[in-house]
This record gives sequence, structure tokens and C-alpha cells, in this order.
Amino acid sequence: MATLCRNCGNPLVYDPETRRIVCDACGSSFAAEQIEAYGKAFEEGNAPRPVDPVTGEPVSSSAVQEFFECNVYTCSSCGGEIFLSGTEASTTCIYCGSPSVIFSRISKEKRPDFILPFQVTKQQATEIIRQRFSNGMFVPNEFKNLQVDSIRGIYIPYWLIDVYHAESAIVSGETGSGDSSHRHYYARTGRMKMNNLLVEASMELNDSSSRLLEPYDLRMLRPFDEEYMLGFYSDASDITFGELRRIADQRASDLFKWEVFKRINISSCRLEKSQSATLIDKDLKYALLPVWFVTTLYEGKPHTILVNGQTGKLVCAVPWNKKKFKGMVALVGSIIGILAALLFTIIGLIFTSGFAFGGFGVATVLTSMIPLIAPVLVITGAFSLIGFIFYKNVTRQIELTQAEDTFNFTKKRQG
Amino acid sequence: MIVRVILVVFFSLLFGFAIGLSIGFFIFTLILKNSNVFGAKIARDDPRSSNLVIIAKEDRIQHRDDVFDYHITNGMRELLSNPGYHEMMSRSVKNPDNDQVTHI
Repeated sequence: MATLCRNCGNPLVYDPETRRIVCDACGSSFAAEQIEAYGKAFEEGNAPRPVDPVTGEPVSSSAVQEFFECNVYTCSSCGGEIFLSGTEASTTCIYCGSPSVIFSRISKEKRPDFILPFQVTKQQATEIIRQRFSNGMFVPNEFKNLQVDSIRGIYIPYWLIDVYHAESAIVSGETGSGDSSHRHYYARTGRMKMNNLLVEASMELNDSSSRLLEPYDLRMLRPFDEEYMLGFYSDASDITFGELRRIADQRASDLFKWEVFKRINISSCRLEKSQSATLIDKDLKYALLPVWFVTTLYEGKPHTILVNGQTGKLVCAVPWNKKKFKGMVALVGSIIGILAALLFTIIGLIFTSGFAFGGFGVATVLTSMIPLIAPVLVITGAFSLIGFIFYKNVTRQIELTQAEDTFNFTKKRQG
Repeated sequence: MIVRVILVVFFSLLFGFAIGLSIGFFIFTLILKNSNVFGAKIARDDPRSSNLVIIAKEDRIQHRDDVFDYHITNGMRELLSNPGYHEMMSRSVKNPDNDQVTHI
């Protein structure tokens, strides 16, 4: 299990930039295949043959290949668990800062078929976060000056599945407009096959967050090699077949619906009714995909910032600077308000000039300004409604960043 | 005359600020959405890889539940009797829902 530098004996780590296994202490650099070949040669010459822990009988090499070992560390202060491969040792708990992180056990996890090595380095991920936050007009200074020392690279487990989907649906859409608009109904039956559909396999990580991290370029997948995990954390699949079917059916149905809408090509399309059957091919492929995690507390609430370890896509929503937001709305709103008021005053005076002999009561002035009131109400209502939709969208995304399950996921894998 | 001007100015200010604040709110929530939300767009599954084959279609059907059910039932019957479906059925996972996913 130990992967030490053959030149100086210090732990080796995977470097996403050079895509090689490097020794930080002496600067040696090796190809992953080199390390693997070296390890195999060592095992063939020296390592004892593996035996079944129950029967004591020697086991075949293919059975050994189904699993790989990783070290589990536990924080005795907060209870967080860390899965680490190789000789990487955890000395401090980043979540609670406690140094009481102790080796817990060696765990045998399912050996993945593939791994997508990190291509974005820790420095690049940090730079992406800093740059995007510094450009944000309402991002609070606490986030702009975020200390991202606690950034963790975690390999997330995914299943790559081939899906056969059959669906029969009734779809409706509108033709014409206004009073002449008509809703028509269409029946469509079809089948489709989706290859290598990604299904995130950790029950603890929030599905919505992991979905946003996509897409990944799966052409860069490599056969699993533990050396790629050196210096990173990982998680193991704990998803059930029921959940896998639910996700596959939902993804396939969404795509079927979208494709049917596109082909019917009519406005205000909606799904009226449907029935479907989704089958998953037995040839499941298990892969680990890279994500950078940063967890921080803001106003007492945990926030988890994610960066796709391959593409650098940043996924998070951060609270806004409320004082600045209110101030800007009031300032710009007042300027527009004064200009609009000037315009309305001129128009109002013209409209009411014909009532010179009819008295100037509130009712008279309001009556004369009726042509102004209707557009004012429509414009005010429309802008307020769209603004409110944007506002809800932002708060929903922030809730996702604050989601306890994502935070707990990271917490369990802190190092 | 003065009363008329005061009333017109009063209502103009009222309407002006209503419009101004609503436009201001709209502008800054739009900026807020772009400023504080990152990567919120879900990548759609690639439709090119779906190979969707429509095997039955009918346009402008009647808006009646029994007509909808007729089309859906017939469509599903046709799909499930397809040889491709049977071949896929024999290769598909049949594990109970509660089982943890593993290699088969």
C-alpha cells in the first residue's frame, strides 16, 4: 500500500499539471505506469500471496483486483472520517481544526474500473475561485478574501450505465396567439439508447450539486490506478439499485421529452401524460471523477464551494452583501424614479389642462391621468415579478450551497 | 392651478418611484444572479447519443382521457413487444431495489 519515493523514501503524490507521480521532497517524477510496474515487480518477488481472511486459503489475483485498500482516519474531536490512499497521512482536521486525527482502520473498497485524473491543480482551482469571486459585484468581502487553504481534492464515485428507454407520451402545444390561440395534442411513442450515462454513486453528496458539476469529458478516462489517488481523498459507492433506476428513468425521460418537444416544434409545449420503461444494462462501469471542495462558515452557516477537477467549472452560490444591494436598488431606483416623475409631471399637466374648468380634486386629476396609470401598473408589475423570480432563483441556489448533506460529505472526508 | 400642479406632481412622484424601484430591483437581481451564482446551468444529456427512434406518432388527437390512454397503451404494447426490448431485457439488471449497486 505504501507508495514511497524510491530515491528518498518520502510519500509520492499525483500532480495534475504534469500528470505524473511526484515527490515533493526530492523533486523526483515518475509515470503512473512506472510506479505500477515497480510495485508489481516488488510484489512478485517479495510480497506474500494474499489469503482469504475467513478460510485462510490463497485467493486468485482476479478476486484481489475487485477491491483496493485505503486508510481510514477519524477525527476524535468531531467524528469526521477520511479515506486516504497511499502513505498520505492526515494530521489536522480542517473542519474543526483539531490535531486529534487518528488512524482508524484499513478499509477494502470496491475497485473502480476507471478514473478521471485531476487536470486542474489546487493552485488553478484556488485561482478560479478567487477570480470569479473578485468579479462578483455583490460577493461579500469575506468570500473575496476567502482563505482557501482548506481546499480538498476528492474523487467522487460514479456509475457509467447504458440505458434502454421506451416511452409513450401525449404532448400538447399552442398554435396562433391571443383569442385565436388553440391547444393541440400529439401522441408520440419512441425508444432510445443512452450510452455511458453518468450517475453519481454517493448517497451522502447532494444530487443537485453533483449534477451541476457535469459535463465531464469521458474520453479522458483512464483504467483505474491507485497512483492517481495519491494526495487526494475518495469516496465509495453506496447507491442502491432502486435509486440508480430512479435517476436513470428521470434522466432518460427528460431527454425524451426535450427531443419530442424539439421535433414537434410548437410553442408552449408541455407533457400531458406518459408511460415509460427503463432498462439498465448489466455491464455497469464504476469510475472515480475529480472534484475540488472548499468548505467555509459564513454568518454561522456552512457553505461548500465545488470546482470540477477536470474542466474547472465552479459550482456554488454565495450570500450577497445585503447593504450594498439595498443601497444600489434605492440609488438607481430613485434616479429612474425622479426621471420618470418629471416625465409624468409634464404628461400629467398636459392631460389635466383640459379640466381647467372642472375643478382640481384628487378624483379629477386621477381620472385625467388614467392613460398613465395602466402602463405604470403593467411595467411595475412585470419588472417586480421578473425581479422576484431572479431573487428566488438566487436564494434557492444559495440553499444548495448551504445544504447540510454536501457539507457533511466534505466533513467526512476532511484531512 | 397650484392644487392641480401639486396633485399632478404628487401622483407623478408616486408612479415614478414605483416604476423606478421596480426597474432598479429587476436590474440588480439580474446582476445578483450573475454575480453570486456560479455554474447553475445543468448540462443537458447529449441528444446525439440518445438515438431516439419514434415508432408511432399521431398529430392533433382529441383532448379526451380515453383517447390519451388508448394511444399510450397501444404505444407501450408496441414498444414492449419489440425484439430489441426483449434482447435488452435479458441483459438488464434485475437486482432488488434495496441492493447496493456493484459489478454484476
